[in-house]
Amino acid sequence: MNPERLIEILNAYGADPMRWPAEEREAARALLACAPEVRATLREAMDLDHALRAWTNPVEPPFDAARLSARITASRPRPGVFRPLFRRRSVLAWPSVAGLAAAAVAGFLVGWAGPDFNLRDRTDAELVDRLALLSTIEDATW
Amino acid sequence: MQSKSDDDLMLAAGGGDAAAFGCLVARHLPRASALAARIVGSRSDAEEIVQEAFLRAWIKAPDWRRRADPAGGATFATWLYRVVVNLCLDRKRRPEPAGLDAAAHVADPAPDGLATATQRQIAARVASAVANLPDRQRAALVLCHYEGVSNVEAAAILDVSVGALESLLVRARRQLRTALADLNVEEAGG
Repeated sequence: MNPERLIEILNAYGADPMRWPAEEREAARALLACAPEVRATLREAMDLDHALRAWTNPVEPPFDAARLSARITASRPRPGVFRPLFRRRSVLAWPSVAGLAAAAVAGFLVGWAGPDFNLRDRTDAELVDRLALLSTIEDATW
Repeated sequence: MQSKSDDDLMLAAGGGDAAAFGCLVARHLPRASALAARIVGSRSDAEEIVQEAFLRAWIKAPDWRRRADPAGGATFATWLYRVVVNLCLDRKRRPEPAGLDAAAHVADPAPDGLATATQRQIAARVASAVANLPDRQRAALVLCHYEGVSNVEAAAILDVSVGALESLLVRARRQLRTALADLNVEEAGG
């Protein structure tokens, strides 16, 4: 600690040692008692602190905490439900994603197969093969 | 519940524990409100900002991770106050010096609770001078001077180095000294 640093501290944090950087507080306080060259800066800092004290406590908490937290938790009963779909592999989100993908692939295949893909004309074995193909495509996608 | 750390409460809130979240709100609402009110200079704006900040905390809760920092609870406070400060700074709207609610909230020197007209005027002058500071200087001053936040935490909240924080504070106090040079300090302090 030296007078130059003490002046920097006074100019930045004011005259109250409780606002000074904790790791420098004791050294600065000790120097303050024996460094006449910082007195003018100390006086200025004290005057400004004194003036700033006139503006106190601008606002009470605008609402009580219980009401605010109740409103927030009621508006979103479980946090994270509205999380973006792809941010996390949510157990709840997977079925809907998989379902969308399966529907899209199924739609594509139906369209691609055209009139050839007619459920009434297919055997069970053929249908199982078709569904297996859909399942394979879905797994590969995700 | 009151004895639990902020981290514990956030983790519980992440599991859907509304009571834990309520405890967090109760713990941080007064300072968050005062911080927002001083930076934006408007009670109604401060209300919106604080609500938004706590809503973000509730949404953030499921992703909250316990910090390795043994200091514990300070990390949630730092996160929350950073959200509050950023929302204040994003608001862009400069406080209206003459319209600051703060003018009605002065130091209360009289035992009977009546503040003098002179003290109200001085409070309004100070509030106006603070409101006219550049945004980040105002935020730094409010954090360190009015809210008693340590320099390290204030720097973290503003996402700057401690040296940069000191520079903001020095410039803020210099401007305030100029703006309030004619103020009678004996009357000002109450």
